[in-house]
Amino acid sequence: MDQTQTSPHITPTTALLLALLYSSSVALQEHLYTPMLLPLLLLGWFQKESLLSIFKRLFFLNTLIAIVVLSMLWQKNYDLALLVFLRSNFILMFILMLFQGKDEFAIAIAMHRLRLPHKLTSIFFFTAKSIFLIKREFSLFKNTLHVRGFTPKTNILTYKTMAGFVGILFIKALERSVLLQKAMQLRGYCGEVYTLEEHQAFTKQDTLLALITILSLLWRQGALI
Amino acid sequence: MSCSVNIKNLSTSRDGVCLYENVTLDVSHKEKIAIIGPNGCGKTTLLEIIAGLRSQEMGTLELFHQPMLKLDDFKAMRHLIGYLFQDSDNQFLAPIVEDDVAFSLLAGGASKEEARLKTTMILQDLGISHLAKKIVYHLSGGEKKLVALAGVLITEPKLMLLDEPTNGLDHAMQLRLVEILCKIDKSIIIVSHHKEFIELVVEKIYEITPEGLKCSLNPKNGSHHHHHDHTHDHSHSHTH
Ligand SMILES: Nc1ncnc2c1ncn2[C@@H]1O[C@H](COP(=O)(O)OP(=O)(O)O)[C@@H](O)[C@H]1O
Ligand SMILES: [Mg+2]
Repeated sequence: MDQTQTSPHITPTTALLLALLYSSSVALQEHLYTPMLLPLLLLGWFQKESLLSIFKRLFFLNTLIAIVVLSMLWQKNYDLALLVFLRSNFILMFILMLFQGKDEFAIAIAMHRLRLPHKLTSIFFFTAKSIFLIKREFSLFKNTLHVRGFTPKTNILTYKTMAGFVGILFIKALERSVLLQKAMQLRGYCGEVYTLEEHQAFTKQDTLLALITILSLLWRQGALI
Repeated sequence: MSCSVNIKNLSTSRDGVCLYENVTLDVSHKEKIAIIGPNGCGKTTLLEIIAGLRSQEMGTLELFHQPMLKLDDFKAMRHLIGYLFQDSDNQFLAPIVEDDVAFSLLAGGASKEEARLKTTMILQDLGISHLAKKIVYHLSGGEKKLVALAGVLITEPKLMLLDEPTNGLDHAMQLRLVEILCKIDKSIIIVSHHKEFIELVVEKIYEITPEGLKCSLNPKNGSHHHHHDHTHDHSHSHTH
């Protein structure tokens, strides 16, 4: 069994392809139709355990969308405001639910399996790797502050500590990149990425979700707006 | 005598501070040695010099009797040298365990069939077959170390440079590593603080001092009978 994915067994490749398909069609179509909700419902059912955390993230992302929507309301452009709001939330919901429980490496693996150009795939993977390592550095630092009894306040000590930390992050990132170059030299990297995997096992959930998504995008009935 | 590494009068400094002078070190074919010394004394730096990742200030370095004058000279030696980083995260070049283990082999032009076969074998040898399809960054520190080691062993390097290989390994894993390293019939240079561990693996221990290397024979592991002890009762796939 493919172990690169967590509970809802949607393979990274399917996730990446469907995310591109759904978001581009929803973004580019003139109207939104009721059937577009179907894949969201299906995904919601797949992800029923983590819906709460998904909605939390959606809520935070909506604070950004709110700025755009409010500016349209200001211009009394009510229809457009609603359309923008719905459109972006459809896409966000779809992507959040699809990639819930997957990380940046899943996307790198998907790109690899889709046989995208080596340059693109390796850049993406090495970026993902760097982000992962910096994230870990960051959480280590937070833990250090925590166990050493530091509470952030609006005072000079806090700013100094944070500034120092940002500096350290830069240095660490630089060091990591030097080490990455060394690893490439030692292990004979010559611009290509390899995989031993030949065939991909698609799951039942993959097929179901792909079918529903494609159907929902073709079935242009019942315009919402 | 045929040697894997000959170092003569090597001196190194970093940021203008001299780390050591007049380091002389010979590692013969299939010999296992350890380099010890306090934190920051330049153990990693020395390994990096031997691997051609950093140039030395003074002195000469020969690998397999070839003088290494410029960093370019090391290119021809790359496939003979295996290097295990102190922090395994730096080692990985592919997201999935089996792809990373096979990396150097595939980069060296091996066929997929061969790579798949060898990967399966090496993962089995190290007892980590169950990790084959996992994402490397989701593993524990000890598991990462073994995966990194598998990626080094797979090309069957003639000289292995291991930087603190027991870091993050629990006791059982350490014993497994001892077993694995004892079975390998190649030159190995281990950098480690871990006295009990290196005493089980190596024949000679060198201590880094500002004046150079101080050699001592390992009391617990006399060189020659040791080889025999281990090569007789295990037949081993990747060592021959
Ligand atoms: N990136 C670096 N830039 C400058 N000096 C460094 C760097 N890395 C290590 N050093 C210095 O080089 C010395 C040797 O480091 P290293 O070889 O990593 O020591 P060891 O592995 O024995 O702990 C240390 O004193 C350290 O301060
Ligand atoms: Mg070190």
